[in-house]
Amino acid sequence: MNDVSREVYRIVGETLRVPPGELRPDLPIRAIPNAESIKMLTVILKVEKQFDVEIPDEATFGIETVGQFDELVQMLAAERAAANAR
Amino acid sequence: MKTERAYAVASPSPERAVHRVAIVGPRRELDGVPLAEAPWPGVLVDRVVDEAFDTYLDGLGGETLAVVVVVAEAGDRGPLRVLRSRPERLRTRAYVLARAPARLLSPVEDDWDVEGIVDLDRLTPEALAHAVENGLRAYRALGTNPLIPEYYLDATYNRIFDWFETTKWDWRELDLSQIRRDLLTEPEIDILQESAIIEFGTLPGAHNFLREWADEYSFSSWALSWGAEEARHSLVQCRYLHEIGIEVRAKHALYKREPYPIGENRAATLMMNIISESRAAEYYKTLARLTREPVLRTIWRLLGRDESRHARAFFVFCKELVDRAEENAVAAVQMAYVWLADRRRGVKHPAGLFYPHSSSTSGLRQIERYAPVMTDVADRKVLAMIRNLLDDESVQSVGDLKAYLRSKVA
Ligand SMILES: [Fe+2]
Ligand SMILES: [Fe+2]
Repeated sequence: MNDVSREVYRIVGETLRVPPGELRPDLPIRAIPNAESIKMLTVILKVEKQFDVEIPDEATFGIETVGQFDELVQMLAAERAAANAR
Repeated sequence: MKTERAYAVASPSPERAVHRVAIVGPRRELDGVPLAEAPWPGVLVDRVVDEAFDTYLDGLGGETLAVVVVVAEAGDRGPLRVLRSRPERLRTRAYVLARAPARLLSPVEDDWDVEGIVDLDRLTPEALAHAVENGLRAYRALGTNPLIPEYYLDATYNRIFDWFETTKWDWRELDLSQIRRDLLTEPEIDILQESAIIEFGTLPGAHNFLREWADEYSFSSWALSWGAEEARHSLVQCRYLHEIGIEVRAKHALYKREPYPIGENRAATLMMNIISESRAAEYYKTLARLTREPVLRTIWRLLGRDESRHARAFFVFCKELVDRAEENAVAAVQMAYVWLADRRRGVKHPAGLFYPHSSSTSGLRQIERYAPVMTDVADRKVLAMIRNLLDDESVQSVGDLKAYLRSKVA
């Protein structure tokens, strides 16, 4: 797990109050008891702030699993890093 | 909801804290006042010499002072003046013990918000205990809602009442015997049934409002009149259907009976309703434009007017909260973002959101297909209201809402 992933899992776990060991990549986000829309929005906002990225609206409500969310953030964070390097 | 309080309450759960009762008066009178030091669980009685009352209040800090009993012989009301000069003690209930109380002028007492006057010459322990108990009850009843004004008429509902009253429609504007059955289409009749059923969802909404706003009377009064108007929306459409030979089953009203969970922030609850009312308004206005049947057109036009009025009323109450505390603004915008941005599976509606088995959401989708721009029109109006709420003209899109929220992330 790289630094971005670690941060993503930390933010998801803290915001949705899931113990660290229980967050697996294939865990459906909707199966997490606290993951209603407003809580998910808080996750998105924190991640956006942390990595200086913008998560598209479709993804905000369309992401199915924690792993998918992690992959998306990795991709956006890499794009951001590349843009910053230029 | 954490907002600034009109009354200072230090404890996070004030009703479980110790309630203090202070008996204030000249030293020689104090010992004779018949009340135990701890007459009830959670209640402590202090005896305070009148000249020391100011210092006593300073020493209390944020502690709860529920009742003050002022022993006022010879008409001295000094301690009342001291008490009421402190805004944080407006919630404290005051009683006056006086000789020959009938001679007291009530306007003076009223200025200092006195609950009652007890005759000092005929004072019994029971009479005093009774008065103080009433005072404790009154203190609890007042609660800590910061939006409660000092005078009844100053509440928001009472200030906007006339606007509602004068825009109400009258059943006499409708004549169901004039229905032109031949001008109705089958899809239209389906939609009419859906609309009648969607409106049943407002009933648990009204239950909820009254529970969520149990500590005040202004929004609660509005919720009553809103609920009464919404009940007419179901009724008028069901009666129309009856007139054309279709009976709506009562089960649909019961499916929506179970109240949904209380929201975490009132401004957010109000925002959800601003959006659903605004969408309902466009929905009915669109239907009214599309139908060729004149009676139904009138009904849908009237309902559309009601719904846009409702949206504006919820806005007024939302603004009142947003103006008080930024966390209310953030909660309202979060709710707005979730509702406006997430149209992936069609338009959301409170009823459909909480009742997956209800048909409301599918009904809305059906009409969305009919008039796809309808929701865009409604949502643009919501964005205009949000600009007003935040006093920020730059909020033009859902993306701007998110940018606002991002700027507020801790
Ligand atoms: Fe309605
Ligand atoms: Fe309405």
